[in-house]
Amino acid sequence: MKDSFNPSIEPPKKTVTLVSSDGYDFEVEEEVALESQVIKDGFEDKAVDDREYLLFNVHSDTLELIIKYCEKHVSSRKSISAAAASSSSSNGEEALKEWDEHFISVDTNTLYDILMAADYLNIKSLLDLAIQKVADTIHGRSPEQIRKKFNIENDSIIDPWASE
Amino acid sequence: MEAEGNSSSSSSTAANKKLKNMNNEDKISGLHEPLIHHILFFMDMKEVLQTSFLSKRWTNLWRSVQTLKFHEHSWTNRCNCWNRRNLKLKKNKLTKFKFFVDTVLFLRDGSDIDKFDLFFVSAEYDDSRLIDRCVTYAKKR
Repeated sequence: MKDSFNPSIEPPKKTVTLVSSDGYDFEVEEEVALESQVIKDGFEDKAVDDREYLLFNVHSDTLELIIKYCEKHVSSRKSISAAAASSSSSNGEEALKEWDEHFISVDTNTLYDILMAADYLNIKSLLDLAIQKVADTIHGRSPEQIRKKFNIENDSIIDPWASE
Repeated sequence: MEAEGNSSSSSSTAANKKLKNMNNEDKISGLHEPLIHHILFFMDMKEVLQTSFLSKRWTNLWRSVQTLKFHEHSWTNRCNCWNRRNLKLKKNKLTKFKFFVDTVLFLRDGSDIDKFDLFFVSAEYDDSRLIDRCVTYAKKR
C-alpha cells in the first residue's frame, strides 16, 4: 500500500492501527481514527510510532463498518468545506444524510453492534444515528411487536396484551 | 484499510452454534441505562410507557426518563372530524390524556428533567390548573 505513495508529491499520510477484539489489524488514516473522541483524547500522549489501539469490545465486522462510516464522514466534510470555499452550490450534506440513512439500514444485531461500538469509541454522530434508528424501529409498534423485533423475552407478571 | 488475519478459523460448528445463539439474544435490554434513555428520548411519553410492558427490565426504566414529551395527538389522533359524536369521543380522550399527564408526573421518580414538552392545543379554561401543575413540576427540577 505504501508503494503507491510518491513522497516527492505528497508526504505519506500518518496512520493509526486499530486492533479488533478478534485480533485483526486495521490501518487507518489518522484523521479517520480521530473521529472517535476516545482515541482523540489520548492521542497526544501516545508516541508517534506507537499509535496502536486495542479495541477489546469491537469485533472486526463492526470495526470495518465503523471505519467505513468515519472515512465517509471525513471525506465528505472535506468536500463540503471545499464547495463552501469555492462558493459553488453543492448538496453534499443532503447526500451524506442519504448515505447515513442507507448505512444504518441494517439488521437488528448489526445495529446493536454499531450502537455499542459507537458508544465505546464515543463517536457522537454515529451514536445519534444508531439510536435514532432504534427509536424509529420502536415507534408505532405494539409491545408484542417490539418484543419480537428485538427478541425480548416477556418475563413480566402483568401483561395487558396477553389476553388479546 | 487492510485486514491481516491472525485469529484462528472460526468456522467450526461450535462457533457457528454460538453465533446462532447470539443472534437470538435480546441485546437491546442489555444496553446500559443512559443508552436506553437516549433511545426513549426520541419518543412520546405514551410510547415510552408502552415499553414498560416489554419485560421486567423495562418496567421501571420510564420512571427516570429525563425528557418528558406529552402530545395530545398521541391520544386523539383518530378523532379529528368535527361531528358531535366524535367531539364527545375527543373530549373523552382528552380527559384520559390529562389523567395520563398527572399520573406520569405522580409516578415518576425524582430524576431531573432536561426537557418538558407539553403539546395541548385543545386546552380549555379549566385546564389551566393542569398546565400550572406541569410548569410547577418542571420548575422544581
